[in-house]
Amino acid sequence: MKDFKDRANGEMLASRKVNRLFEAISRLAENGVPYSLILDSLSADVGCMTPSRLTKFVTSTPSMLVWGGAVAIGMAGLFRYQMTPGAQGREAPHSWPAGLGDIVPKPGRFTLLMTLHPQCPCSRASLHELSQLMTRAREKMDAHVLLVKPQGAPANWCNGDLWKQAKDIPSVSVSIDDDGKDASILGATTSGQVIVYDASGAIRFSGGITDGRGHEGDNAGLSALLGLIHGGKTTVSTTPVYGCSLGVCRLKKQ
Amino acid sequence: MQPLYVSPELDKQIEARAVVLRSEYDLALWKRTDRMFAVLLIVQWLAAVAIAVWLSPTAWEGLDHRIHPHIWAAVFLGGVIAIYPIVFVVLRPGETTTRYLIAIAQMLHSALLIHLSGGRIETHFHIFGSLAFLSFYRDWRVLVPATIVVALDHAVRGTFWPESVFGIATIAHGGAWNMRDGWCLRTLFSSGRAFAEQRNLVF
Repeated sequence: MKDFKDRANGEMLASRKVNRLFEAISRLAENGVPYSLILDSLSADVGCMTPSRLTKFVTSTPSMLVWGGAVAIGMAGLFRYQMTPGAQGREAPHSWPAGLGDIVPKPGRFTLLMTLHPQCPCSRASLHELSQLMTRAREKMDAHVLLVKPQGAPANWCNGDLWKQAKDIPSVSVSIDDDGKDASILGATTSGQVIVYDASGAIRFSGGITDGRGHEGDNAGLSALLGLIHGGKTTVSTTPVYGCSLGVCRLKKQ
Repeated sequence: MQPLYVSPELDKQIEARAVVLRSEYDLALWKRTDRMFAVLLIVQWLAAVAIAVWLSPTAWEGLDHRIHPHIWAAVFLGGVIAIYPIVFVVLRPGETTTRYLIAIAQMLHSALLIHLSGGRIETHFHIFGSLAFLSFYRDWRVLVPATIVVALDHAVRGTFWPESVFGIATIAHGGAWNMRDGWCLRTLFSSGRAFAEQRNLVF
């Protein structure tokens, strides 16, 4: 019996279930059941398989650790990218800036300005959060989305998904920011930057309203704005902005 | 009518035969389920690439653009996650290690898909779908590494990037655990109980 077990163990990669099979075989053999009868009862499925050197290497514990390490490094890189904010521009004007064209604050209402890169995939989440915000705050706030159109951009630069998504949010106006002039005035350098002024024209918030690059869900910026609009106070007045670079500074230098 | 007499020796032989048949059945089931997961892992990998290409094809800086890191992640990270368990399915089908690796890979795919889809709540249901698929093995232990991966993911991110789990920069909800982990644990316990009951029917 020992010989049989040794041979079988060497030939098969035993799992716990297979070990149970051997125990059963041992028990039968000890009770005098002939091996030929026992082996006949086993299907060809539980047959022998000699692992090659390659199989042994690929399925060894070190190779599993290498796989685990590679996945961990990849995941960490992905989350690091998600949680890395865009470049911070200069501080937004503390009071309502001149030169923003038709956009003017209305008495008794907050005014939210959001600068977007029209092609930025991360900003879909910013607009989703803006939509959530406007659902709960449209009675007290006006929102304006500025789609930055750099110099030299094609005519249809802004006619993308973000334009449609912004247009579909109630109480939100959408306009094109030619050459990024408005973004420059506001000091915005990253897509998704939100700046909120109160009725007196004083700045109350500047930052992003997502918790990561292109990531939807509850976040500090959204909570702060809801607190400001419904309670008059903010837990934070600035948050990191996650999105693509507007390229405003670079364009200014050209 | 006289009661059927089974000698102790025959009784032992019947029991042993039942064990052999049960082992054969389990092995065949595990191999079949391994093959199903091998196909599923490839489909998920392709789905991850498709989602990345569809949702975030390019990263921009003004007028300049480059391939979005999500696409590289979907192709390479998704590939690494999928291929290694598939190698096990080919080389060591029906084994415990293969099942555990598949369970881990399924949960890693959930994390990847959630990330690529921008944390959309709908994608989180991939976790529960995966747990249901893993129950095809009828081996409750497979759900343990799967649940550990989900909990570990939340614990690590909750510690280093709390915003990515809780939406705020500080942990104030009883540590790096949240409701999803609780539901996963609940699924684990209920599935384990179900398998135990199913086993009692056989033995």
